[in-house]
Amino acid sequence: MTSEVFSLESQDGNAVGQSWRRTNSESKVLGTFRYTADLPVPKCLYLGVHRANQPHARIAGIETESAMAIPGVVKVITGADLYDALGENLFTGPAFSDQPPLAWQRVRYVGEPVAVVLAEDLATARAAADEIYVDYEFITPVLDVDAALEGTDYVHDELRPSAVFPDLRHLMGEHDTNVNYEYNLIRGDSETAHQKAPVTVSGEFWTPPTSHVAMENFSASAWVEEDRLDLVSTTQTPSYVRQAIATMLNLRLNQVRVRTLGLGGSFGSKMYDRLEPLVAAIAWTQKLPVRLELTREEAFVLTTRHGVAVSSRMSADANGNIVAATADVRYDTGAYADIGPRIAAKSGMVACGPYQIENAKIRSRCIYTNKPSAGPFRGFGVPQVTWSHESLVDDLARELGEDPARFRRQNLLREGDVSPVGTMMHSADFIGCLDAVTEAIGWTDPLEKTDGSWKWGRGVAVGIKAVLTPTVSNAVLQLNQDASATLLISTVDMGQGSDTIMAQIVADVLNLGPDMVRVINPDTDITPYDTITAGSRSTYHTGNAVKKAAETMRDRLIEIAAKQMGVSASDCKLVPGGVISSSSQRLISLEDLILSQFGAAGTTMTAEANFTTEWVPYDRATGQSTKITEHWFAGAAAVELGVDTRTGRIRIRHLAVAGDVGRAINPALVNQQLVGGAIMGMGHALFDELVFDQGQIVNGTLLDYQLPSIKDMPEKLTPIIVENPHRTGPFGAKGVGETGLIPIAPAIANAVRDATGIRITTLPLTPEKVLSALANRGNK
Amino acid sequence: MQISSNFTIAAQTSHVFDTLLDPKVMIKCIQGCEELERIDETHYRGRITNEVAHIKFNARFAAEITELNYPNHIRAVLNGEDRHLGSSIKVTISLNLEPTEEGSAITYQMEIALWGKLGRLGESIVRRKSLEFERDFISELSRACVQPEYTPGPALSHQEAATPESVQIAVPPAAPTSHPLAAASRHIGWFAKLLAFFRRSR
Repeated sequence: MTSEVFSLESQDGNAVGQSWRRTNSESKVLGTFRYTADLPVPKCLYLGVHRANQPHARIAGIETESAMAIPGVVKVITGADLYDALGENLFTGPAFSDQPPLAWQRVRYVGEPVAVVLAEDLATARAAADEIYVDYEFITPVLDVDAALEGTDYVHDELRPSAVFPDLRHLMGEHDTNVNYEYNLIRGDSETAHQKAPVTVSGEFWTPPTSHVAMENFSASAWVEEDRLDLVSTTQTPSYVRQAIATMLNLRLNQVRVRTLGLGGSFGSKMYDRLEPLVAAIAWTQKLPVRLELTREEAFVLTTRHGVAVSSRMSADANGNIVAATADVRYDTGAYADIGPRIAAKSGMVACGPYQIENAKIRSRCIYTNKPSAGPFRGFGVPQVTWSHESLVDDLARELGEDPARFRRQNLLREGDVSPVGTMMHSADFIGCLDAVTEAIGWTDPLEKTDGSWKWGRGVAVGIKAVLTPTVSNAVLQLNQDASATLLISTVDMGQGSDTIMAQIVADVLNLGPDMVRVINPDTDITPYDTITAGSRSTYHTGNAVKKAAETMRDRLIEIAAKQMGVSASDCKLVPGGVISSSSQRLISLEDLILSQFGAAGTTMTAEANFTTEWVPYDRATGQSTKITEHWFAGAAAVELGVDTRTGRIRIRHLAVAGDVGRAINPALVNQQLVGGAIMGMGHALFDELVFDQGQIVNGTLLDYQLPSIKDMPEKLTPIIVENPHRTGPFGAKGVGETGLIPIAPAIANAVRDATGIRITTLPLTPEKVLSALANRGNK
Repeated sequence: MQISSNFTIAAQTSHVFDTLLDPKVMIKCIQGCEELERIDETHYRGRITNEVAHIKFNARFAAEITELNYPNHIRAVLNGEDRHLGSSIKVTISLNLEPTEEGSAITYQMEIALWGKLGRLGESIVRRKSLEFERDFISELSRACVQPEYTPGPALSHQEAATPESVQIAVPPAAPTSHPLAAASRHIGWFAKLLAFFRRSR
C-alpha cells in the first residue's frame, strides 16, 4: 500500500495547521502508555458473568449452590437481587430505560448477563459463573426485523422511553409492538413524481450487523468511598455515565466519580451503558470493590452495529435530475434500544443522500429483536443508508447512460440549497470531495477492462452526515505561572487525537509551543461536563469551547498587561514570548506577567467557556426542520478495482477518500482519520459480518470474525483533505472521524458493477457472494 | 440452521416406521444415548453424552411429538441442555416416509438452534458433524430394518459408511404390520435422528 507521507515535525508559527506529533505517541509505540485497565484501583473482587443461553425465555429459577461451593467465591448476585435493592431504577439506557444490568424475570438475547459471581481472583470468578444453572421457560424469539414487524411475538411488553430525550415521552406505555421508534420524512409528492419519471430504479439492500473490535477490550472497576461511588471505566461518555449511575443509585451527581484514561479504540462501542451499570450496582449495593474485565468473546455480545434492511426507489427525469426518492429503513436494534431510536432518526433524515430532491418519502424504524443490543458505531447508522442511496444513484446514472460521477455532480446539494429534510446546506463541499477523489484515481483515463479472468472497473460514492445536535461542551483552562497550560475537558482521546487537537487550539490562541499544553484525562470530579465524545463532534464542539476559554484567557492577560504597562488594552497584543505594547514596544513575558499579578511563583489563572449548539426539532409528521443540525459532513470515495471471475476475489488497486474538514487543525491526524475510516469501510464492504443462527452469534471470536489484514490493503490509498472553512468552526474546523468511512462500501460495490455488470445489494461482498452473482447471471 | 436430506431403505414403509419408533432398537443405534424415558403419550426425556469439536457435553433433553400420521409422517420438537456448558439446543424435525419400488423413501427437514458454547462452534462444524452422524445413523437404521434379530455392531468408519443416497440393503422387506397410531406414539425411536447430533465422534 502506498500513501502520502505525513510530516510529523513541529514547526514554528501558529499551531493550527501544523502536524504536531500525536500526544503520547511514543509511549503507545513503546507499550508504556497507561490505559484505563492499568489505572491503580483498590484491591477488588473480580466479577464472572453467567450469560443466557436462550434468545428469549422466562427465568424460572437460578441455582447458585455449586458456584458458591467453589473456594474463593464470595457471593453470587442475580437480577432479582438488584431489583430488590434498586427497583425500577435498575433499568437504564440513553433513549429507553429498558435494559437491566442483569436480566430480571426474562432474558432477551443469547449472551445476556443473568448472574455474576464475586470472587477473589478472575479465574475463579469465571469458573464459578459456569457452575450457575438457570431454569428457563422458552418464549418464542423474534429473530429478524421482518419477523418483528409481521409477527405477534414481542421482545418487550411495553415501551419505556428514558427521561433523556423529551421528544420520546409520547411513546411511554405503548405495547404490542417491536417498533420502538419511527421517523418519517415527507417532502413533496414522491409517489406522483415516481410515476411521472421516465426512469426509476429500486432495490432491497442489507447491511449486516458488525462488531467494533476495538483493540483495547472493556473493563470497569467500582468501589464505595464513604457516601460516594468511584468508577474507573473504558467509556467514551463519562459525563453520561455519571448521570446514568447517579439516577440508578439515587445519588447526587457529586456522589459519583467517573474516570477514564485514553482508550485503545472504541468506534462507538464504549458509549452509554456498557459495563458501568453492572459494576456500579454491585459495588453500591454490596459495598464491595469490584472489577469486571470482559473476554473477547464477551465483547462480541456486548454491543454491535445495527443490521439494516432498506427497500428503496429513486427516479430521474430525462434531463438527468433526480426527482423522487423513497426508502423504508428498518434498523435491527436487538433486545435493548440503546441509542437506536436516535440512529434511526439521524440516518433516516439523510437516507436519500446529499442530493437536490424535491419529492422524498422516508420511513425509518428502530426495531427490537432477540439479539444482542445494537448501539452506536462509527457513522451512527448513516453508512447503512448510504449503501442504499449510493447504489441506486449509480444505477440511475447507468440507466440514463450518464457517467456516474457527472450525474452525481449535477444533482449534489450546493451551498444555500435546502436539503430534503428542510435544512439549508452550508459549509459542506460535496462537489469538491467528488472532484478530488475522481481526479485522484484518474476517473476519465482509459481503463483496460479485461485482463484474463480479471475484470476491472471504477466506482464512486458520496456521503453526507449531520453532526450530533444539540450538544453541550465545556472547557476549563489553567494558565500556570511558568506559561504552561493545563486544559480540563471531558473529551476522551481514544486514538482520534483529540488531546493533540485541543492542545493545538490553546497553543494557537495563546502563542504557546508544543508540549506547553497538557490535557487532563476525563474525571467527572475535575473535568467539566461534555455530552459525549462521538459522532465527529469534538473538534467542532469541544474545540469551540476550548478556543473560547483560550480567548478569554488571552483577553485577561492583555488586560493585566495593559494595566501593568499603563496603556490601553487595545494597544496590547499577545505574541510569542508574552504581551507587547504596540506604542512602547515593551514586552512582558507571561511568566513575569502572572508572577507580578499574584506575587507568587507557581500560581495559576483560570478561564472557562461553554459551547452549546441548538436545533429546531423536526416535525413529527414530516420530519422537516429548518435547522436539523449544526452542520453537515461531506465526504467522497472513488475506487479502481479488479474482480477475479474465477474466484470472486476483489483486489483494490487504488482507493481515494476525501473529506471536507473545514480546516485541518492537524493535517497528519486528519489524514490518519481518513485512512482509518477508509480501511474500516473497506472491511465492511468485503469482510465484516456478525453471523447469527437462531439468535446465536456463530462467529464471535477473532478466529472466526473476518477483518481486513495488512495483506488486504489497497495497492494505493490516497487521503485527500478538502478545506472549506466552516463559518462557526474553531479556525473553520469541523470533525472528520466518520467522513472517510461512509461512502466506501458503495464506492467498492459500484466499481464491482462497473467491472462485471453485477449489482450486489447485500454486504459484505465476499468471494462466495460475487461468484454466486456471476453464476446466477450466467444461468439467466 | 436448516438441514434436509433424503435416503432410501430397502424395507417396507410400515416396517421402517416401526423400527424408527422402537426405543429398544433405536437407543442402541445411537451411541452416547445413556437414558431414554417415556413420560406420556407424547413426551419423552433422556440424557446423552458426546463430543463435538473436542467439546464434551452431557445433555439432558425433552421431546414432544407434535404431529404423527402413521406410517408416513411425524413431526417433533426436542429441547436439550448441558448445564455445565451453558449450552442448549432446540430441534424441530419433520420426517416423511413414502413407499417406493426399492422400499421406502425417507425425507426429512430439521431446524436446529444451538445456543451457548456449542452454538459458538459455528454452522460449518455442526453441519459437517451432522453429515457424519447421518451416514452412521442410516447405516445402523438399515441394518435394524433388514435384520430380524438386529443387534447393533460397531459403527462404520467414514470411509465405510454409505452415503445417504446410496443406502440400499438388498434383503427382503419385513412383513407389513398393522400399527395403530396410539401404539406408535408410545415409541421413541423416531428422534434417534435428532439424537444423532449428540452421537460420540470417533
